[in-house]
Amino acid sequence: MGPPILYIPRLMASPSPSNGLRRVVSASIPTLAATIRLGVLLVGIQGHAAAGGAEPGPLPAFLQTHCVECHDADSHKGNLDLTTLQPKFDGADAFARWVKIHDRIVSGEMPPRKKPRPAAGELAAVTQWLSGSLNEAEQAHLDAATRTGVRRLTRSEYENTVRDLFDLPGIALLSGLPADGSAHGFDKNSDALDISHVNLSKYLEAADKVLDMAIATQPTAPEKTTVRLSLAGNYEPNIMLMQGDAVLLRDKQHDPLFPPAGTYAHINQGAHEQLGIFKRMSSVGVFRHEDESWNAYFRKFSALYPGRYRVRASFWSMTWDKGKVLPSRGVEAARLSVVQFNENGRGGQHPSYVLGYFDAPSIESRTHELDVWFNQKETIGFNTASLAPVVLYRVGTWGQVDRTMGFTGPCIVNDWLDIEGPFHDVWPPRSHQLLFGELPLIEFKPADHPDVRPPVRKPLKQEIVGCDNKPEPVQGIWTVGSHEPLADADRLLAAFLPKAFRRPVGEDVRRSYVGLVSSRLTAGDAFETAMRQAYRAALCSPDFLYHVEPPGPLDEFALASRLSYFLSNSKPDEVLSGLATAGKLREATVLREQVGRLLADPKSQRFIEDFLAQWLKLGAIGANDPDKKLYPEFSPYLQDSMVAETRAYFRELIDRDLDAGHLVKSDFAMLNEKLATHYGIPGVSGPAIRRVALPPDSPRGGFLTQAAILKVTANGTTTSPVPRGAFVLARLLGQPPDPPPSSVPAVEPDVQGATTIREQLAKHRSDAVCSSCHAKIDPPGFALESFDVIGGWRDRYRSIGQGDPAPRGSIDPRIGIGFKLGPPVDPGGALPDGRQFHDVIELKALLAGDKSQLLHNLARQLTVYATGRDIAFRDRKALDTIVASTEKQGGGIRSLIQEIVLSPLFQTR
Amino acid sequence: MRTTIALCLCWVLCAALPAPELLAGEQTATFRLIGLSHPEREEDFHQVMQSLPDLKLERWDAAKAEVTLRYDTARLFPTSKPDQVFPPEKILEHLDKLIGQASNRTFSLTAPLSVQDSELTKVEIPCGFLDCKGCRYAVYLAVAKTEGVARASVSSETGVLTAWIETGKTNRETLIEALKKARVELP
Repeated sequence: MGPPILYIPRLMASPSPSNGLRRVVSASIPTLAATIRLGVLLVGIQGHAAAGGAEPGPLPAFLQTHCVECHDADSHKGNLDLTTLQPKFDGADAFARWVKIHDRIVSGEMPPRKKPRPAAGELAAVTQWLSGSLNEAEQAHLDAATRTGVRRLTRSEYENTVRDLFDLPGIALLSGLPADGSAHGFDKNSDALDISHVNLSKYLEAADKVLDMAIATQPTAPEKTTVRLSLAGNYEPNIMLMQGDAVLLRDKQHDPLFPPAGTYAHINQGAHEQLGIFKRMSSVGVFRHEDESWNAYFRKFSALYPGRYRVRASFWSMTWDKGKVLPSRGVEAARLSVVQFNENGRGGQHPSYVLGYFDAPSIESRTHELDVWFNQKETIGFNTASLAPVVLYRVGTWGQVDRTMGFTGPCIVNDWLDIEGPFHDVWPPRSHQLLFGELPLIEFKPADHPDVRPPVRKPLKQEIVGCDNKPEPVQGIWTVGSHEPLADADRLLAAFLPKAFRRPVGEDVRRSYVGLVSSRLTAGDAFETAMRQAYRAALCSPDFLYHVEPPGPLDEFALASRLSYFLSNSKPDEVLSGLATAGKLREATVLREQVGRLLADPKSQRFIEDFLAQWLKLGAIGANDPDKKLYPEFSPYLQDSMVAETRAYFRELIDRDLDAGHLVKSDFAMLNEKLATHYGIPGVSGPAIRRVALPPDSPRGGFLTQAAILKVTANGTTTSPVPRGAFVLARLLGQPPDPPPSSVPAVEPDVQGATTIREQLAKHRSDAVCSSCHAKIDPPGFALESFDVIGGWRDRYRSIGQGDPAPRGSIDPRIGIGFKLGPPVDPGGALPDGRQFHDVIELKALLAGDKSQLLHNLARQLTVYATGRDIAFRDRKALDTIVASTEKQGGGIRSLIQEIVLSPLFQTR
Repeated sequence: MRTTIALCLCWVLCAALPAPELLAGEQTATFRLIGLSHPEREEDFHQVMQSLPDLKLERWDAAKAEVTLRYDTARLFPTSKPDQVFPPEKILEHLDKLIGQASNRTFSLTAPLSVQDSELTKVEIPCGFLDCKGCRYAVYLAVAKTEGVARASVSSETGVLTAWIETGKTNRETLIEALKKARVELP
């Protein structure tokens, strides 16, 4: 324990930190106050040493010479007063503070550039002493603890685990579970993964949902059917056809039975429907983008049997010119999505997820085929993704009197859509076989089992209004037959539990589950019902819900799990489990091979999506919608393209093992036409993302200037250098800034165009308390001011108040422009070390110059994600080793992932 | 178009030929046909009749929108007792149901009007450009069931709605109101 802090007489303090006299006095006679404070510090350190802490070493002299002048009770720059900070490392806050002091000295950030530099020997001595003391303190603290705490599966891990375990690749569970917390940037961290009665209740619901879907209840597979659907004949598209936002086509011309409306509108939708005009499988050309009041669904089909289906759809595009069909402006993009109907399916705005964006070439129909998993009450939705999402597209409105016959504009056409399925290559399905092996499905006749309660069956019915597909009648109750229920239960659970728990399961554990089956059988349950109870219990048990890892080095099974949850975000597959069982997984060559295999597997996309959702905050891309007046060109298609770019880029870095410099700078980008147009890059056609070489003077390339990153760091209306700068520091450079003081109000950008954010921040930074942090945070943010909230390039800010008329640029001619051009952007600045840049290209060059720092940060982010724990001070050497090994191999991202997996950090709990 | 011409020719020939004699148990009756909005709908009606094997089109008068149907009550009502007699309104109800179901409710039958043609007044209302079959039908529907309207038809060439009305029961203004209520844009 150190002595009590001495009271520093007020007369020693300046009335104002900005008082010039104070500076002179302080510089010339620092002696008395500083000496007293140093004495306090020294005594504190000695006291600490006497109490079993480290010897004081060179610290007091160093602080006295280089630090106390600015970090005393009076100045306390950066909110740091070294005269009151006791040299104790055993409290979390104090430890973190000393780590920060250590890091600032090591990085050269402190003492500041304008002050005399410490001698090399002096610097080495103090950093070694601090590092040693911190390591010792942390070691003492963590000796009794494991590196990674006990942690449960995250929502996405849970869903993926169930999907892979039961071979139900599309079962939707995530939305039914409470959201996970986040710690140190990731939801996989044990600090964030608490559990409550709410979680448990939801796990029970989820287990029931899984078992309902997994267990077969009819003797034969549902018959596979193929239905051909037209957009016409569905309620919402019929409305669009009636009011002229869509047109019926046959043989690439308008359907003579339903001519486009001209001076007179079509009347009475019901009369047209009664005559069957929309049921003739005509193609439907749509002019209008979906919006709050209309969604195009293929409502005649709603899945009754969850499973794999094949969807085929035919699209083309055209320019509609007052009744004539002309070639389109290029390859348009048609979006298909899976729509989950609520209730009975009436109305729009049902939840959905995007399946993809598909080419709709000019005039020529193109068929697209894709495998889709449907859950019950799901169908396909369609959208004219590449058309402008504005009501101006609506024909017959806004002063147009001739409706469709007076309209000229782009159009995307759907000829038809086929849904084929469900596909079952085996029956009962694999999910059922996982639970009941080869036991037969038999008809349960209550008369034959008077003392047994039959399994509960809810009759399947089509709940969605207007659907043509109906369930097949099933005669009788079909269930699993067993002549030796307890022996079968023991055998089935012996097979199931190790797969579910991701490791061998002891006999005692298995017997407890068999006991549960036995008690249910005694209570009168049928075999299936009794087994279901055991499976339900297993799916809600800690063995399933938690990552069970032994303290210290991971055993083979824990290693298999950690590797699998890292790169597949799910349970180990058969290969990994087999290697773990054989005891071969820990071998370096085997591990390298497995990393390669897992990264090549399509399931690695889960890792890419989950990691980027958190590291680069892609999961928050939809947190706000850009202001429609300022950014009318924004669309869901653009946003999805942004996300696709960032994911594809990260995939490219891994696949080609590109170095960390590519995190901020690159000569290529992953683009589709939508993004390329947004970026002003010509020559890219269609919705598919592909590698595109960038012009030499392009500001794009690297994560830093990707539209997704620029959107997640903006608020939808305005940008600010502060959050963007903080993002760069924390996410790309590994130097997270301190949170802002609660007493300081946020800087609100001015959308009226009177002042720039830079001018406002200049005022903010003039405050000494703010300036030290903002000197680091703001510069990267200043450079990124060249990009607006949707990642578009700008030389001038958009304004809804003052300003000059805005040119259209690449904005679709059908989109109205209501914004003006405000003040010019000043993207220049200087890094804390004094290096200057004039624009974002120069900033990127500066950042990319320190590949080691970028690699180090990515190593840290990946390790935290993979191990579920923050990097401790004592882990730094191991992290340095990972980075060094990676750099020896060229510094590639793929190599980095391999080195992380091979490291003791990864292989120890 | 060719099908329409063929069916029309067929109808002309059929109308010209003497009607086949009734078989045992068969009856004929004449009804007012609702839904014949314009000439192309005749083809639709013939398709409906083809889908109803227990009904035969004995005769029809497009100008008056009347059809004479031949049927066997024993086949129409298979569970009936032999020699059971069905009142005309029961038969009408049943035939209307059959034709309504087969035509997605675009055709229906009612009892023939008692009023003579000479007592009807012809009203013509221009309705703009009606090149769409569904819209012609919609215009027709707007007035067809208005009390006092004996029959109506819509011309695709002229876009004119022609209605034969009982002047004591309705008038031109009432029909215009009905059209406006149905959101028909009048020139």
